Amino acid sequence: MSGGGNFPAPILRPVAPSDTTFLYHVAANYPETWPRVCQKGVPVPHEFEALLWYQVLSQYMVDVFIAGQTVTIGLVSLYDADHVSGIVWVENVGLPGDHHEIVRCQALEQVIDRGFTSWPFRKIYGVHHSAAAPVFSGLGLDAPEEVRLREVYRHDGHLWDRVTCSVERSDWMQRSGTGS
Amino acid sequence: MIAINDPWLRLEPVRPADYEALFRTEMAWSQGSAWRFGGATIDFRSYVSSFWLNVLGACAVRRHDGSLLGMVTAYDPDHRNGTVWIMAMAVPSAQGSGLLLVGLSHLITELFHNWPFRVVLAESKAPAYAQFRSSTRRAVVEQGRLTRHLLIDGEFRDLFYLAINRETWMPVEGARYLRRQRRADADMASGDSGQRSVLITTGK
Repeated sequence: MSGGGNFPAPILRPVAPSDTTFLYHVAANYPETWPRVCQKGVPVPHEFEALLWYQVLSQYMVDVFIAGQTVTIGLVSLYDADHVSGIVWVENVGLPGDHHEIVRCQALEQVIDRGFTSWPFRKIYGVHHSAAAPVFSGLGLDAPEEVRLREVYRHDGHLWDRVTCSVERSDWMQRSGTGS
Repeated sequence: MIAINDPWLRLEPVRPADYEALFRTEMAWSQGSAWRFGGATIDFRSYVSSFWLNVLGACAVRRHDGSLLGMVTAYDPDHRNGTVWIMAMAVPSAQGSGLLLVGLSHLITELFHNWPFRVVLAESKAPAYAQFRSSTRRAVVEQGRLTRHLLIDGEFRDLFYLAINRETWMPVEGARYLRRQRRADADMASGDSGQRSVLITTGK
């Protein structure tokens, strides 16, 4: 388990319509961290909600309880599931630099675990732009890079790569001690 | 997408009259799980409505006698980042002939010649990629592969990601295919081999 220490546990809860404000703020301010929704730029608000749910298998808001208050810090999603080939994609979205990265990593671990234990997926992929942190960074696991589309994302005056990494079911189960 | 002539074939925008032949090709039992629907069959109406979804241009590829060789498509254009994706589908009689690669090369040339794309991208499943991998090595850059990604005919196979860059394509391959287009246009204008009249009278 990543994190440990004295970090509060993430609280995963359903996405409510009122969460759109927080999520659109993430998209508008940090589009480079959200390839699924912002590959072609920040969507207009009425398209944003449709994109937020497009091809989603399961997604949850991530809250944390700090100093007597519940604070929303991100979103974790499983999307683009292919049940025939046993593959699905995961994302972990939040405000970079908000000091909640480790808690979001714990939420990501939970949703990956859900992906492997509730469905028979063989592989879970994560995509990131090279302008942002890799999806699986902070989990302390070997998530090999499989595809790097070079210079296909324009951000802040530069062209960045779109990188796909993967986690195999057998590696995950071995790591979490639940057998293969 | 405009019509393009080649000495061997012709590309022209797909029309409703083509839908049924393309539907039959994509849904054929012999295609198994290799094509985009992965062995699933959908009804004709859904196929037609899915046909132009996020598509920049779809061209039927034909011999000059009007017979269908397949289809090449440009889809998911990203004008902000200068990228677009392509795909090709060959009817059974044209598979392995290399003619669809000629059609695809014209499509790539068109995307760089008349559009401001920087990179043309493609996905290719391992069995199909094996057929053209060696012949396209000069112009196509492998960006990686998703290993054991898709279940095809009982085996988990890799999915390759390929890129063609404007700077490498246009000076050599692009120039070559533009010359082919001009030669074919000139041949047709002079009535050589009667190709023009065939194309007009068949309406294909």
